[in-house]
Amino acid sequence: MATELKMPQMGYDMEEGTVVRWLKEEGSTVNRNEAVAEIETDKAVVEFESDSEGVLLKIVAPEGTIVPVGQTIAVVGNAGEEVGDVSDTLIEQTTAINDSETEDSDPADEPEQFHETTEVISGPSTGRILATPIARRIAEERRISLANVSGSGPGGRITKKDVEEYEPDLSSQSTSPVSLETTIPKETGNDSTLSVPVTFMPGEKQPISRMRQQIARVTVKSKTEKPHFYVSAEINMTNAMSLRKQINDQLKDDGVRLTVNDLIVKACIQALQKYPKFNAYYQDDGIQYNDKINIAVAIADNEGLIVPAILDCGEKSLRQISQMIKDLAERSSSGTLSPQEYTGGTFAISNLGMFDVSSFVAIIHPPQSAVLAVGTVSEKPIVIDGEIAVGQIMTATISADHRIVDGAEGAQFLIEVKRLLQSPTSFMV
Amino acid sequence: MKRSTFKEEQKVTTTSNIENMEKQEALGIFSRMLLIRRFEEEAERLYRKGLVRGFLHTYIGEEAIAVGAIPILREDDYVIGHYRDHGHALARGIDPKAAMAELCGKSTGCSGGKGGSMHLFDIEKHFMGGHAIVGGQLPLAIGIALGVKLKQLDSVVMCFFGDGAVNEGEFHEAMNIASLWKLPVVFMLENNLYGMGTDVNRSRAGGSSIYGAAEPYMIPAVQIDGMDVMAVRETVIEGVAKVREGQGPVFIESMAYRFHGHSMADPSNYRDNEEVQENRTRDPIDKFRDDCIEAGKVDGNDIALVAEQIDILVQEAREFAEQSPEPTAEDLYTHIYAEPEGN
Amino acid sequence: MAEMLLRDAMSKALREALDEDDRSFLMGEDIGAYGGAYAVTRGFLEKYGEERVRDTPISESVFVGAGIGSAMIGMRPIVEVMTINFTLVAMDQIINHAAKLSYMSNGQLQVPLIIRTVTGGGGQLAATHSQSFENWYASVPGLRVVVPATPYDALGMFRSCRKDNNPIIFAEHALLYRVKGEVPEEYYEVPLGKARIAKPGTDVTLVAYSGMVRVAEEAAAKLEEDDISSEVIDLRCLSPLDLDTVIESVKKTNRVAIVEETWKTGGFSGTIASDIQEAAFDELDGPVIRINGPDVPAPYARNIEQLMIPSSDWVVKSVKYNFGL
Ligand SMILES: Cc1ncc(C[n+]2csc(CCOP(=O)(O)OP(=O)(O)O)c2C)c(N)n1
Ligand SMILES: [Mg+2]
Repeated sequence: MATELKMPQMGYDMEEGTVVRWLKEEGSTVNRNEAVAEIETDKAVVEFESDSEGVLLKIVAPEGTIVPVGQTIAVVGNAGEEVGDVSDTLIEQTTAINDSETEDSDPADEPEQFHETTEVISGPSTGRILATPIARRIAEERRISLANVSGSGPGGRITKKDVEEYEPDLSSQSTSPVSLETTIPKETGNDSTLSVPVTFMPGEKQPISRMRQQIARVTVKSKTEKPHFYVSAEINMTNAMSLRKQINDQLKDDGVRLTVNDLIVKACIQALQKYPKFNAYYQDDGIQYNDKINIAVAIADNEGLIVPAILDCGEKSLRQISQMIKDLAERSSSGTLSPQEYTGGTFAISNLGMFDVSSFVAIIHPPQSAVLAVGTVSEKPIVIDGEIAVGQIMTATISADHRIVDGAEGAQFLIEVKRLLQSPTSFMV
Repeated sequence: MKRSTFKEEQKVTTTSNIENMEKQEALGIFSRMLLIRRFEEEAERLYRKGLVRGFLHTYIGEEAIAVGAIPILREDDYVIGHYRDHGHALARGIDPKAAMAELCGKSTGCSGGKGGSMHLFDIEKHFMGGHAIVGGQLPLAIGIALGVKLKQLDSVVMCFFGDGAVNEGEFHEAMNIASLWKLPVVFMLENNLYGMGTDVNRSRAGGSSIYGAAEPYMIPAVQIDGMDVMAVRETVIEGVAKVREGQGPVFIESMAYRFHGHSMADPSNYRDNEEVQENRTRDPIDKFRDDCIEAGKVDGNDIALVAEQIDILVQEAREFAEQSPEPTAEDLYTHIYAEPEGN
Repeated sequence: MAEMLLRDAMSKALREALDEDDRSFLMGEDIGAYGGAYAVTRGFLEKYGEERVRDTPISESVFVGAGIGSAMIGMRPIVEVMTINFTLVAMDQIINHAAKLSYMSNGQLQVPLIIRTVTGGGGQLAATHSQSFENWYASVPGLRVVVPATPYDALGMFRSCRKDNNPIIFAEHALLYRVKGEVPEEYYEVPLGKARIAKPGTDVTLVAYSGMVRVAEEAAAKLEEDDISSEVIDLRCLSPLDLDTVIESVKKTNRVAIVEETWKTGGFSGTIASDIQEAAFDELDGPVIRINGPDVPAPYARNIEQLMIPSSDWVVKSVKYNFGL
């Protein structure tokens, strides 16, 4: 019976060999253990001995060919014997080898260790919100409560992508998609980083924190010194909201993500340019008109309230403003605001849009002369040209210092803000 | 070749010993040597086909040492050696099936498929392993001998190593302690003239004859023809007896020649073919066969019969190995630590 | 540019050393008459003679020590220990002596010694012959540890090693000798302590070295099929370690997996993982993943040996599983 001589395995790291020279011709007799060819590995040239005897019926691999280990290079058998189709056997061999390899790497056989790499604590049922470090960081920057974000990572872990793509669900929460908001969530969520700590017991007297003392002093001073008056208006935000969405969709890849608050800030800046008294300080010896517009935004945190300002934003584009606010929030949480930012506001906006409140009035932050308070954006029936339609309505209330401005001026200022927000294209481009 | 015995006055002539031997005993020696030879030839074939892998070091040409020495030992004696261990294992009576299965990486192998050719173990048979770090088995042999001594047994420990191992510090450290503490060790040096590709003359300051290395440690030493199975037998019988008496270690240098490369990867470029061919004419199996026939102990028929039986044994071993299952994924994790872990 | 096997790149590197610096000589087991266990020094004995291509007895402790001693008086020896497994026999010389002399002598001594050795498993050589210890050496101050993965780096880093005055463990992976890669004719060097971005990407960083670079690259190709873009970093050197390149990458991808051949416990990946989380905690979008061989000695049998060497499939699975991709 004919036997095939195969490229031998010579050394553990050999994968293939070159047939350098045949020492026997087809038709010549070969003895067992007789050298029939010279084979070169990448280390050496060695003689290849036949492991069967007979006649060299066929040389399958001519001199110079590189043959993988285990493949037939010649056939030895009895004189005159038929040589089967060797190339067929070749193919069989290779597939056999491959088969065994795939079998070897059958994932079912793999140690389970890749699962072990990290034990994933399953689900937030433990009461702890699972989020990656960077997801936490971004959520904090954007004032997003992780309790509202669903995680797509292993075990429901919240990842960077989840936070970045987070859009609050308007229907269920009926809060405006404002990201710069005070951070007191509607319900005290599980996420301790953002909730107000409940640190008192009923009946207990809690000492007053520094921050609270400061707030108490400032608000009392403001309310006793400044004669406040208030003007409110409903603003139809439908156009503003849809334009905002368009911009956000288009510029998503550039990292642009406008908030409703950004629009309000921008509208106020333009209104302040028209009515500079709202950007002035009342002083005993005269009215100090500020040459810069520094919009202060109220930010609440665990301990209380601060009202830092984005400085000199009079000439800034909407996109720049959006960026400045983000940056301000980021630095306020990391505690790296400058003193100027803490105290330099010339006009303030307080936004409680994320709570389901329709309107409220705010206390002016001295030495400023006005503050705009805005509530949530919610769907309401409105009448357009005699037809009833659904509009996205927000109520805004200006508190102003009567020593500088009067009611009519307050109304004019507010109507200007309203006009800008209702036809927002003018300041968005 | 220098020739000496532990007692200089005693001379050994091999043919006379064959004459004093029973026929069965002679055939036993022959068949053991042939088993090792055929077993390894089969292993080489399986290697070329990719069924045996890793490193495969054959003992072909050196069979007389293991077969001359190991069967002399009692069951309660110990054998330990280096990675060129098929001969030692088979001479100690390890089932060729279990050995071949080990070479093929099967769970039925004598090391469960985890050790491979270089790491055969059979502790029941007091075969304490092939060890693949050159010289590493020598301190272990010392420890086994120390254990024997502390247990107040009269077992001996036979430790095999190559000419290359003599240059490791561990060899000298082991020799010193064995002598100092009078431990029951038979140092079995297999001097096949090469450590891998390095001629012993290029690695030993004293040249190719090594047994003198025992002298500074005051260990009785002898150099013999390791391709003469009767010479090995004779010397080992004497040496083991000495050690068993509690007089401390002996050192036996068996001169031999490995016919094939160091391992399957070795093209043997460092020695010329003539040298190999010349040594092959001293084939220990052929020599013993011819001596036996000459002494009228056995005839061609006996030899053919044995050869046939050996072929069957080896084929059975191969078939067993081929048909045996591979270790399972769980086996990867077993026996990393002792089981049970403590007592 | 010429393609070259890593084996040939190393031969070239060694020939350069012998040709250009008469303070250099080679010393090790079977590097001469045998031609080198991995055929790197084939033909060297004939060309350079026995003085400069020294076959040693099997005496690792002494010939490594001899390398150290000759370096102490200004020679620039290149010692080959056949495999990293056998460096254990010489570990005292390497760690207690080579790595300490400069420090203990207050800089009076230098040990410009390169210890070439072969690392890695996967060849069915079983427990004593399949280990990787470069991570151990990397933890020893005073040693440099170089782990090339390509012919280009092997030659380029070896050139840098020859200029370095410290004891160096230069570990070549046994299964990389047959790897081909481009090696320019013109002279170049690859600095020590500078990682290489083997493949840029954006979604996940795969850190690897030596034999595992190929595995990481394969994994990257497979992840690419699922639109997951990986950045593959080849550390090239464990000491000095280029952490900056890793951190930069992690800042970009926010996810990182380290692939290493040796055991997980005590693996160098642990050091890197810890460094990453210290330096870039807030950049991480998931745990720092370590993909190491499991803590088992290498078995001989092929089917289970395969289970202890990280494969590209493990990497892919681990990345997808742990990062929810
Ligand atoms: C400590 C150590 N160094 C080097 C090697 C590589 N190696 C394996 S066998 C060998 C040659 C050993 O020769 P020898 O002791 O004469 O035994 P032989 O192979 O001739 O039986 C070498 C250098 C090793 N296994 N262990
Ligand atoms: Mg030897």
